[in-house]
Amino acid sequence: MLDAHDLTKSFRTGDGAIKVLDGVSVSVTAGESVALTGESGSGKSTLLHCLGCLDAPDSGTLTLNGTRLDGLDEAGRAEIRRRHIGVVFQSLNLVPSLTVAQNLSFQARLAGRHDADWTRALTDRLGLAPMLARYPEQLSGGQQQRVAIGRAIAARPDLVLADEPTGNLDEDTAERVLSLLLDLVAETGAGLLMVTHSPRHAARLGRVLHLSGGRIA
Amino acid sequence: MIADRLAAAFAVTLLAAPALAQGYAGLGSEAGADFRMPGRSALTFPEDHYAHPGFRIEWWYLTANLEGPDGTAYGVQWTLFRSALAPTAAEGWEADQIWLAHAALTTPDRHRHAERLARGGIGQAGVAEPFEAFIDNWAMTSTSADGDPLDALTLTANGADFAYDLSLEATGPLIFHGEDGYSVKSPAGQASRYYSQPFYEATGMLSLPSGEIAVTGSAWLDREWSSQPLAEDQSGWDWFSLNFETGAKLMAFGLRTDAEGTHFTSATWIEPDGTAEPYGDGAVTLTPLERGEVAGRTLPLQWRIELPARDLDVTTAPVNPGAWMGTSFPYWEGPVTVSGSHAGRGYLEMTGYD
Amino acid sequence: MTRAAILALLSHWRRQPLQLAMLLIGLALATALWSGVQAINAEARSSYDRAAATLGQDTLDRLSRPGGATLEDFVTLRRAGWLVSPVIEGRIAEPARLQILGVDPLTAPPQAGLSALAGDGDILADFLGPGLLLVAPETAAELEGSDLPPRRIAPDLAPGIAVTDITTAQALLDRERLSYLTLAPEQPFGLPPLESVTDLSRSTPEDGTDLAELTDSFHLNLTAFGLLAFGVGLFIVQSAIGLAFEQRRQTFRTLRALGLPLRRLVLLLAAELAGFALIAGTLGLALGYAIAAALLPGVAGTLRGLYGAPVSGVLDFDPVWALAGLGITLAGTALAGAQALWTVARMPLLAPAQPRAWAMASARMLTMQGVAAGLLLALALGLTLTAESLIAAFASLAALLLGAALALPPLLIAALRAARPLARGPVGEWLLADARQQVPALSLALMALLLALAANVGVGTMVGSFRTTFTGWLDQRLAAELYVTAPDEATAARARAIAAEDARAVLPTLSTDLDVLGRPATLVGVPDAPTYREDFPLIDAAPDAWDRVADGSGILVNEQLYRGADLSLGNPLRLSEDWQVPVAGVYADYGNPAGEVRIGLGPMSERYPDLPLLRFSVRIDPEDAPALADRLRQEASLPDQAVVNQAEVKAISLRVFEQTFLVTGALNVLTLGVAGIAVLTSLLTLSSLRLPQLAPLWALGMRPGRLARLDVARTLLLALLTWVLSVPVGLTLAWVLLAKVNVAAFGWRLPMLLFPGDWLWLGLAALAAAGLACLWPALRLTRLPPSRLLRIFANDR
Repeated sequence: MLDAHDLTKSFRTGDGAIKVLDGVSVSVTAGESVALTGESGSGKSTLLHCLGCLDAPDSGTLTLNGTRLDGLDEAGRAEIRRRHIGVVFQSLNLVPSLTVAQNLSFQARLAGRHDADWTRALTDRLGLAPMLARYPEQLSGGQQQRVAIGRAIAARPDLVLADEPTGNLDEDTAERVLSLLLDLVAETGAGLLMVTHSPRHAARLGRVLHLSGGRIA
Repeated sequence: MIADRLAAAFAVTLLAAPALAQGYAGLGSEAGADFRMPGRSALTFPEDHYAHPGFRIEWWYLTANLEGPDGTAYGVQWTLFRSALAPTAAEGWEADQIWLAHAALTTPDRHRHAERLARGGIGQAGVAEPFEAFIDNWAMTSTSADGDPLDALTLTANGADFAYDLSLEATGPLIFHGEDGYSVKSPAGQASRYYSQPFYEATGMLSLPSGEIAVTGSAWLDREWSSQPLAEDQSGWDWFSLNFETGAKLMAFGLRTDAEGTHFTSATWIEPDGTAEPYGDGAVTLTPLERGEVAGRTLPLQWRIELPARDLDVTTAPVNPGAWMGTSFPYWEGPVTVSGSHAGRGYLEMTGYD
Repeated sequence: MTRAAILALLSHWRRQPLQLAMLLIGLALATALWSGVQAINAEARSSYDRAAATLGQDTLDRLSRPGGATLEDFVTLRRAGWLVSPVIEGRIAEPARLQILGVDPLTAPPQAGLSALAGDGDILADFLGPGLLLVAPETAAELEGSDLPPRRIAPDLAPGIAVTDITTAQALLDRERLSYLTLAPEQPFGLPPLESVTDLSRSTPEDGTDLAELTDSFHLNLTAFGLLAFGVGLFIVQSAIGLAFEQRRQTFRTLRALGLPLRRLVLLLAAELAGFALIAGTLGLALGYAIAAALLPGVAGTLRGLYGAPVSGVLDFDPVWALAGLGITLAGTALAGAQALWTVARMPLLAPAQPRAWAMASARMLTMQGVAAGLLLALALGLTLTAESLIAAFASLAALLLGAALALPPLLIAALRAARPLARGPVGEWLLADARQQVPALSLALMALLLALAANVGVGTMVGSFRTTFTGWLDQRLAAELYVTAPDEATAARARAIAAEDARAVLPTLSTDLDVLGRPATLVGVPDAPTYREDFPLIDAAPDAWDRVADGSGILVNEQLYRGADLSLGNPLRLSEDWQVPVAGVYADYGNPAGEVRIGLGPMSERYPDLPLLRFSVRIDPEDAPALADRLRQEASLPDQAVVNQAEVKAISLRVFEQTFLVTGALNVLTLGVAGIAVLTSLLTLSSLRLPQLAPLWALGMRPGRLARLDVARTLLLALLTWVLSVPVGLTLAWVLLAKVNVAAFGWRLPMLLFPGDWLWLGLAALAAAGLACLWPALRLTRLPPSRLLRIFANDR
């Protein structure tokens, strides 16, 4: 489903260019879950951003279901994000001015793929029904992450990208949130690529990729 | 405010200080072509008691040393100045002659004064026939039925807090200063016409806020006119009119030059019988003794006057050191007592101490 | 430590020059508008003082008799010892309107102008001799090239007045007699009683209805505008300070963690603000001076036209004004920075760095605002209904504006909530929701916009209503085609005879000054003619008003007198000791500060048999008017200015009118501009805080360009709503101005007319201002690199 080949990405800093990705090749098939680990600065997040069309690689090829994604402009990348990718970040996932209910259905409606039944089912699964009318700032961290997961899955994306989705949560909550994420992704048949620091969490996914010095180890 | 300026202009005329005079060109030390210069012809009376509009400036200047019933010394001043913008005497509001007057009443502890200004030609001020020199309700009026108009006078003036009313009777002749009333004022030859009536016996009433006081004493009238009295480098003068107990009198003045502060002096010695002898520059010496502060200025309050030709060596002391004329052009004018070789009393005027 | 702390704190501004600029601009603008208005007021007041000082006799007792005093009167009094001084007062119209004050400098009490003679004897000699006019600098400029006596500048004189010698005044005014004698306050010892010296009668001029009082309303008006502008400027400052403090939270925390005492930190921040206030205040003073200098000629024109108050058009620099301006800047900065400083003072050392938009008001805050707004609006209503005084009218205006401003955020939120069903799709929903959430953060800027817009609508409506009414009134009032004033009775009779040959009607009028209810007024005698009966602009009248006026059993009074004296139709009005006539009607008399009474020509000439009949107006076909005017000038040898064409009078009146409201218009535009800048500052300060709000949307597949367009749309939406709300506020403002302030200030009430076209233009201007203000932040958003947005998700602020 998602194939990345030989991706490179550099950032310019005061000391010159730093090569963050140095020829990374990754593929994720439908229904597969992949954990991405590595030390801080190893390029995990950058790889995730490039795969999720949040950022563009400097070189290399990227295809989703056979469509070339590298070389797309911002408008094209936005379209891919809207229709095919679900993202869950560590924090600040939600639109603060919208209620939980509006946040949940937001991406699905943007993608023109809103399914009220499915959203309701998801709401129940995530235990969000009592708080649909609330605003994000009124939720706890775990609740916010559950809304973010629900929003990502409600749009029935091909690929869910999660960047340390439980990084800000305590261990119990993190476990519960992670289980929900894995279960729901499995049910929809989407691919999952998740950046995590925790070997224990990584072990719960189908495959683990370790990134070091901008390359897959 | 305007009175200040105008009076300052008078001061300029009188003192002819060049820095000030520049501003008031019309009355500066240049005589101006239209005005007459003082001549040496004999003075004629009563004509010369009246105004001389053809000359730039002129005054009727009377001072009196008086004594109350308790022996307290008082001084009275009555002065009418005339200053001409043009050597004419028009009628109506058109002002070509301007009149300024000062009146003062000095007691040992208080000096009161007042000032008046007027334009000529409307009847507010002037010198009228029969003889009356006046401004507003201040007047010096002849009461002499025959003879010289100045033989007998009444004198009135008032201010915010004083008034006086005096009768004057002359007991001697008019005195002519310099050469028949041609009085030289500087080595360069500036001069004025100058005569006096120093022989008045005075009686009358002083009105003060505390009440009326009957007084008697003596008075001295100076008459002077010119178009250019001082030299450019002369900054002020010290002027004495003294009555000695012997019956003799002395008029002495010193004109100070800016640079050295030296005096150009002139004097007239008057015998009790009216015989007068003029003395030119240097005959009399005027020496300031003790100085004191009056109205923020340092002035010589005691003077030593020496006239060796008459064996005169006297010292003057003010009846009231605060006899400051805080008028628009300020000067010191007040009664003095005389001691030394000759005892007596008199009046002192000091100008130009800025 | 302190030094290092200062460097750390100041480094922020080096990295945020824009923010610094906004802070300084806001403060400078606030200072400029406030101090500019103050400078104008101060200049006008000092002009009144100078005028009073020139006519310093205003405070002195006068001696006079009908027909004037004589030289003999003066001399007799002086010879009796009374210190009196002669004055001849009069006006000349050509070559310029000039009040001539002839004095005798030798006896005059101290007064303005004469000090110009100081130190220059030539001038004094010229003043007394050939003649000189002492005039203010601008009057000298006006008289440039005229054949009047030579002018000499007296800076302490009020404009429009020439002080000169008695003789010169006599010649200029062609008058021998003295207007009056002034009596010095301190008189000499022992004078005879005044009555025994002269038959002149002594009077003490009333003070009271002087210029300062008359023009108070105008200055209050300006001051209100100045305060409004200052407040608007402070909105900018408040948002800039708030942002800078919010962004430096981390710095504060670090500094404190490193051992900087809280007290010292707060002191340093206060000192920093004070420094900025001084810099910006100085800039603002310079700008304010420039504004004042630019507006002053207009203000001077207004005051001259409206009240006849002579005001110099030239601005003086007054250090006290500058200090006061700096003081108010410091005070304003303190006010604007108080909240931020208080927050810092209360900030816990180890608080978690919560990502929280600054100034995000809670629902409770909104409720409180709503309650306060309701109370203020109720107060405004109460004051408006009950108040009669000018102060109360202005207080009600203040309450109205403040209440409206406070009501704005709750109303906007309610409006946005109500619009929710209209939203289509998730983006529309988000737009409304987002706009709603931005209201508290933008509320200060929006309030500023509301105030500026409401002031514009209100003042615009008032001026427009006034203008329309005024033009209509001019047409009625100036019904005759020609107005003639002859120098003497014989000429007047000859001119009337000539005019009668061609004219449809010749309408002679009499006029004289009199005292009505202790105030100066004019009594005008008018003939009984259809011109008056049909055209005269009566506001209210008894049915037989004109008949009664004609036979002397009734009078017409102008609106100023009517309202000022609280008269009703039928009330008798005392015109002199033995003459009392009931009021039969009221007429509009705009632009006249004094009272006026009209009565029939017949009854008036019976009362005043000696009053010369010098004036008349002529009804004639308008196209024949110029020819008749020429004939009158030639055949009756009337001077040019003695025959006035109606068209010219109208043109002059309208010009005076336009001048009158020039300043108001200029201040309006400036206030709107400042409000625009307030919106810009708020948006700029918000833009970086908005990233966390926009980043999720971007991650979900919305392009930055679209987000930027939506941001513009949201700002325009808010501006539009603010404008909609500003219209009723502005109309209320206009109503209070027309029905309350005008009556109290000028004595006339005007009908309120609506100008919806103007509101539309204003709405467009508001949208344009808001659009311009959000353009830059929006452009910055489009150009944002993805990494900047991605950092939002990676960083915990």
